[in-house]
Amino acid sequence: MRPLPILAVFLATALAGIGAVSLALEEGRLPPAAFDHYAYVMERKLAAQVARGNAVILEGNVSEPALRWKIAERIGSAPELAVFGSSHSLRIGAEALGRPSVLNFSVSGAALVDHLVISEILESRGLRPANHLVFLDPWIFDIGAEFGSWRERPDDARRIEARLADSMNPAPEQIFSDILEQHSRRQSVERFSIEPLVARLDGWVNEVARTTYIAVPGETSATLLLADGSFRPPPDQTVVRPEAVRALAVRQFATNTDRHRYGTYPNMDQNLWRYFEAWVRENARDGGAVWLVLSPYHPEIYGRITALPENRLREIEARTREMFVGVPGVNVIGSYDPEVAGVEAADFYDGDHLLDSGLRKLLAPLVGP
Amino acid sequence: MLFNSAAFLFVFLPATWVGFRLVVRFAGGRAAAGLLSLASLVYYGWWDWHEDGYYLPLLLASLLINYVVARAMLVARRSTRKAWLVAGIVWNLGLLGYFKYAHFFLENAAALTGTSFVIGTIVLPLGISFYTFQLIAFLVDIARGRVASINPLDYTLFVLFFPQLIAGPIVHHTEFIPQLRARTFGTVTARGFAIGLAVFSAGLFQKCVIADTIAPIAETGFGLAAAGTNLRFQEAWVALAAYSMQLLNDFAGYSHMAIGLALMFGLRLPINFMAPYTAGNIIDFWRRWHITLSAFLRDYVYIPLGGNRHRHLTNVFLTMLLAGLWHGAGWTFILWGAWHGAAVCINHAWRRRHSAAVAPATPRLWARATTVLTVVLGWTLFRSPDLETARSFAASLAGLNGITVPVSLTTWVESLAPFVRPRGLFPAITATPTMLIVLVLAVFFAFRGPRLLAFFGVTSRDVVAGESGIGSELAPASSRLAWGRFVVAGLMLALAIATLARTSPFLYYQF
Repeated sequence: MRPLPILAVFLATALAGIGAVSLALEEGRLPPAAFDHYAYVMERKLAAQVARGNAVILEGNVSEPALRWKIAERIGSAPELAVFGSSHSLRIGAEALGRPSVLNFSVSGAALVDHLVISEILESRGLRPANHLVFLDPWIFDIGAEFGSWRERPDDARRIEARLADSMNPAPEQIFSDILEQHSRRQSVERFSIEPLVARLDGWVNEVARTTYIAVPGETSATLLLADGSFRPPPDQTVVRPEAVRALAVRQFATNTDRHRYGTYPNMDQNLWRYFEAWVRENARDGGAVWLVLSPYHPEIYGRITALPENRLREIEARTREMFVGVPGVNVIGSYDPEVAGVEAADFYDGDHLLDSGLRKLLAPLVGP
Repeated sequence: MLFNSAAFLFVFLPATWVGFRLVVRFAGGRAAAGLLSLASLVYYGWWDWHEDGYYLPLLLASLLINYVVARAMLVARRSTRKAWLVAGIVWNLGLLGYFKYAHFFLENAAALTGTSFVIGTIVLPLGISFYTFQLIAFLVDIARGRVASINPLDYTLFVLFFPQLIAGPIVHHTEFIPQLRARTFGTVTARGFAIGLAVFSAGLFQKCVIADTIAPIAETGFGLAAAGTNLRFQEAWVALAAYSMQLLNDFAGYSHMAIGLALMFGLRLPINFMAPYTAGNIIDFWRRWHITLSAFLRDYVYIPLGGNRHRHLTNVFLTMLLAGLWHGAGWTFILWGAWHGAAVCINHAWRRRHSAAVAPATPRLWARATTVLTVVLGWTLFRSPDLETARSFAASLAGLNGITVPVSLTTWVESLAPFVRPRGLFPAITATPTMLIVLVLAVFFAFRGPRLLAFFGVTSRDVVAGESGIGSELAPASSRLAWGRFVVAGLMLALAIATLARTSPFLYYQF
């Protein structure tokens, strides 16, 4: 075949291909709901089990934010106590707190806005928990420390931002709405993309191929998602040697001094502080209680962390205590300082995560010894 | 400006091509060469514009200094020519040494002496490793008396030609400058343009659809290992397979795009990749992987060291060690070079013992498997940011960090805990069904697929095949274009454009 007709065939095929993708993406042919159904399939299935009161085997690679959104969308009644936090609080459930009605909404590395979005889903369903246990991770006041999952819930983020802003005088500057605005502007530039179709295909495979497995705690070596939303690791994974933990803590600190969890926050935002304060006060209204928990660092590294020039751990702790002193219903417990928190090196399994023994000591003011 | 960006595809490339054709028609080939040089400067300067860089002034300085040295060598007497050569090489290696290796050497010197040297952040200028080698080869060949004269315009376009400027192929002046002096320069045939477009589309597809789709598997795998996570056995192998395919399709994709672009301007570039994972032995692998780097190292390092005349294996090993160091300033790269150096030496020793001068035409399965395994295991060192990560990753590959299985098998594996756990096949790394499908297809085509250049009708007239003998794997000179294959190319282009939204830089930009 001669080159010019071949060129024509090539260009016609390329244009037809681009046209086909455009058609598939066109609004109306594949409406957003078609994509939503295939987004976070496994998270939806796990959440359905939790809402039914079942414990299930937890696979790796589950999106924790999406899992929490789906749980908040599916539960039938408000829990008496909701836990908001990060990996520091993933394992805290009804048993550890000695209460029958607990739901854990912790998300590893969660930013303040992640908590707010989940809180808003519950609020919009009229399911505001009576009491809140909030692990106050020091990075939540750094706007640069958020991973962006919440942007998939723009309406929830905008709603809670507006409501909290209304409760303050003067109102703080918009943060989340501005980020969403920038994000949507970027998305419109990148509108022609096969990604939604790929995501749909992935979702369809997950829908067909993956299922959940109900488990009985204590009868399996798998990691579990319990009916109270907490994660339960295999029993043998919680057996650690203090000396190895100390070495791990030092290594984590030495190789990750710039990590947010170690307290260096160039972008600590005053507006985030205000939204945080308003959220806590809102939850403490109408007789509700809010416990703010400061989770300690390993004794081997706490001193090194706070010696870093730009470290803000002490500042955050002092400011938190000062902010809520005398506020009815708000209690601050624990400390980033392990000595103040009353925990020892043997209570940790790495540089900043507590074993069950440490969590018991930390939560003693709430649960009792 | 990235080849896989809308700015390049829909603005820069069409404008440059149309401008080139108009200038050829109305002002002649010399002016067109000037236009291509200018366009290349715009292309390269794009990064300066966007990142407040100093790449362009540095490139221009290097271009000018090497030109001055080259002119001086041409007119110098034999005795002073060598001094000019040394000066030129010192400048080029000094530049590379400062931008690429200063931190590494100072860190190690500090560790050895127990002192501390503090220097600020040094940003590696794009393409410096590639254009520096081209210029060194040029100067050395002048010293060897292989270059009679230099035309400044030809020299400038030889260094700057945008398809190959940033990540190769490393073009030899004897392969390129004669094309600029030929009377046919500026002539673009419909056949050449069609093939160029198809090869470019295929390269874009390799980068955008294959490499970028599977990249998250490799990135999360090695990223987690670097962060201290112990990957499970199957995760480590899948991450390594993904990286092997990502690197191939990213770099070969870039090279194919460069070849295709050059053809669209009526120019020929050297082949840089030829189905490397089908190699029957490690020597054969280096005839197929980054071919132009192998050729450079052969001509300007290995042979000057003595080649196979004396200390053969030592020369081989040192050359591969240098190949490792060229890729990056770090012990992982040096060890990667040593790994390949040892493998090539073993290969040579095996050949001597078995009196096999060349590999059999159809290598046995075990030979291919051994070769691939050697190469793929080597990528562990290549991809790991430090030796600790490489060690941890290797432990996972060996199964020392256990295995996870789908949760549906929980009751079956209870007794095997903690070595086997029900956490899903890939509990830590990102591996969606689409990514895994693309990975499987990529592996299949890397081993069993057709030769990409031959598939689109590229013959030895369209590229520089070099001396490695791989020209025989191109399409026969008499072959005709097949429309069905251009339908495939058209679909590749459409799919690649549909994935442009996730534009990512090429892996070899960092080298």
